[in-house]
Amino acid sequence: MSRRPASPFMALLTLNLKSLFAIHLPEKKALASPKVLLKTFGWIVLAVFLVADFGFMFAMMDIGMYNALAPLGMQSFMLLYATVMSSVIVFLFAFITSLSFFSSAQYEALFLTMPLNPSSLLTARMATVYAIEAPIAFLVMGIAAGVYGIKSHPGFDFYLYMLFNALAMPLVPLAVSYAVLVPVMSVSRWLRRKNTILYVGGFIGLALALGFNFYLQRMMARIENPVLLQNMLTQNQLNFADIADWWPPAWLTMQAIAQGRTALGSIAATLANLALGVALTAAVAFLFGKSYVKILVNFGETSAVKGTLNQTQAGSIFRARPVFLSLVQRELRLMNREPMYLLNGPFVILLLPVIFAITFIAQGDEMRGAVDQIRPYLTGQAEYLIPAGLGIFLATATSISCTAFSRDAKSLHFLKSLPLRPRDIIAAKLVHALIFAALGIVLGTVGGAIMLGVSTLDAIVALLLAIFGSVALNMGGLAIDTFWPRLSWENPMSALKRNPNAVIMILGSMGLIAGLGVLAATLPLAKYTFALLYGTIFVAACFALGFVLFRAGEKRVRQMEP
Amino acid sequence: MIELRNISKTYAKSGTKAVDTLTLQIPDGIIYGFLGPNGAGKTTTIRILTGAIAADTGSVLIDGIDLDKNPIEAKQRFGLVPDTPDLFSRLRAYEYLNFVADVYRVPAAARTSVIENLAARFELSDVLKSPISSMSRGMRMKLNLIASLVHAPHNWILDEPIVGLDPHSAFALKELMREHAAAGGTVFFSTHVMEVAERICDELAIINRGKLIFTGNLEALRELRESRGAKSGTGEAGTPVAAEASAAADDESLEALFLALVEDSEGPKL
Repeated sequence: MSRRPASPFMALLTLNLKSLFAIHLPEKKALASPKVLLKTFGWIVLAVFLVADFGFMFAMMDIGMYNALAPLGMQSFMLLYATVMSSVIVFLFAFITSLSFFSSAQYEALFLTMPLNPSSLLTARMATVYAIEAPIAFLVMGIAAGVYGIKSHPGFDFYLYMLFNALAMPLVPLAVSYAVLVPVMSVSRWLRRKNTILYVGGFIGLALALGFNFYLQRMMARIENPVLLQNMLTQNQLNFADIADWWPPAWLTMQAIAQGRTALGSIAATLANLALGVALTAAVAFLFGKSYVKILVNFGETSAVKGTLNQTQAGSIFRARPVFLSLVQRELRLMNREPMYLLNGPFVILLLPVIFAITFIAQGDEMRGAVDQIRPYLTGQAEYLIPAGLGIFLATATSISCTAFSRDAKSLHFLKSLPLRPRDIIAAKLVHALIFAALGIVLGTVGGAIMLGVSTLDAIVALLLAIFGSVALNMGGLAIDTFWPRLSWENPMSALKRNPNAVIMILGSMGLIAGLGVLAATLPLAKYTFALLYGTIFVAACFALGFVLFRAGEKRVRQMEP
Repeated sequence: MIELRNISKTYAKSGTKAVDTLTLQIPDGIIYGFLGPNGAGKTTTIRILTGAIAADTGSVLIDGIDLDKNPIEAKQRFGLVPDTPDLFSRLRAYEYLNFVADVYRVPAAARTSVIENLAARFELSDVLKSPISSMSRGMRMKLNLIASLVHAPHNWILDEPIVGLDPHSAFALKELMREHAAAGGTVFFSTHVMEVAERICDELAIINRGKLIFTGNLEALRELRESRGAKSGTGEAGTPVAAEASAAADDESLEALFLALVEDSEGPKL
């Protein structure tokens, strides 16, 4: 019996979801290979770790809040807090995700040749965004429900209301996001460009992440101090309640789980929440479908920079440079002009100090207290090792060296057909990484030395260690990507962010810095003996890695096949 | 002159033998067409002869220089137009040309002259300041054509150069290929477009499943077909392939001869 074909809408939705998650679990047979088994296990551990990490953070906050509010009989306020929190997070994610999906509009436009009506196209895209939002709402609300459930023992129906309201939570933000974005993108040609979306989305995302981090730091600081938390929540209770009153999905959720509400009232509030979300989403899909299709059609319109070159202009732009400089310039341009590479690479050097500053400002008193507590230990070798460690970390956090060949996968055939020595290509990639490493050292080591107020001698020693250490680590990262590059990828994001070499490099450098720190704290050596010891290790590592990169690496580049 | 001697290549991941003991000599002063169906091994062969990938066995000589032993010197002797024009799309057109010219160490005045001349021929002068990402596929291909000639190479290797070109640019390319060969240079290009190959090539090589199944000119190909019997190996009776190949018996176009030869090389269908 032949299977009934799926409806065009369902087929499109399935394709969207498969493209979004793109999880290819290995077949049973393939798991017999230790490499595949280890890789699969690693990915599972990483996924569990990520969910557990965020889950733990929310659980700690919910538990802290419950414990702080229970003596006042205000423990159910924790649910209001979780509902408002979930609404805000889901709204922000919905907006960013909806915006970022426009960057693939050129591919989506291919579906316009198929018999799909405009509202189906938009609904399928909105459903894909929902598939990202729903687990987030479920996680935040679910953890709050779990904490409250364990401590207050509500009836089973409480969990059902929480579940269904969590499922309803992303619908209104989704509808609002598209109701705002579609008209804006329709009138702005500037926004209908992939680069613009990646930059705008990237910066909004970073700003929101920083804002969220700021808020979390503040909350964590207060949760550690129940009195502060009680003061903050009771003084600001009206504000939280205002948000819940003002935002219908949150208000309806609170109505559904409110104590003393009849079952009929709770069910009605839950159904109203679901109905409101579905109705708004359907209305947006229906009203904005045609405009959405127009955006897809007109997406990426660009006008080439026209104008015939005159003799003077031609003479000024066609200039000869040494091959090596040209190679380094190519590396810089290709990385800095690709938004995905820039935001996740060189920009990280600026971002990490900003996050640190936010943490410091948000947890002001606590951080100052922590620094005061650390200060007595900031003697001896720590005076130069801490600034050096900060610089080394920032200098290696850009993922430039450890993804250098992976990023070049699409042009590697052509690059290898040019009369270039592989060692020159390798050296150019290293110099590119070291240019940004220098910026990291300035911010991390010099900035750290100034902040900690260390002596000039210690600052110089820290600077030297940071230079040697970052050169060695960047050479190590480049060696990893030379011997095990990720040359098969479908977009720049996977070349950089889904590249295991980037994870190895960041975790490796953190581990190394921590290890050397522990060693320095335990070995009974004179203050500058550590500088000599670590400096020697770094320099020796540079020579060893130089040999590996420029000898074995040269051969490896010749054999490299995308 | 380009020489490929007993080249073989098996891809480790798939285990596919892409090129099988291929020997080919491409003399100076002619346009040499490299034909084959999809997946025949054309691009792999071009990648081996340009040093982009290494052969398992065999050697490549460019103007008598061994590519494996003297890669830099050998690579200076050719210009390549790759099959994927989407290279370095984040660069502007002139930045890309400057990069390639720097790699070949072309002085500023010489590169300016070559680029201006070729950009005018391919009607690309107006967009040299544009980002490559804003260009159409055809424009990118033209940019690669200019880049491949910026150092005036003796050997010109082109992988599917006609794809995406407008009629005017395709004509300009064919003219350039003729000029290059007439000046004593070598032109080696792969194509699917049989009409182009038929009109422009002095010599042909046909490859299928990694094996060379024909080398010579069009006349030799026709003679080969006649000597083998035009009606043999024309596929299972009654199939569209059989009908097409049967028509080839009377049709002496390159496309018909090519189809019949490829069909022959694949042996009888089970």
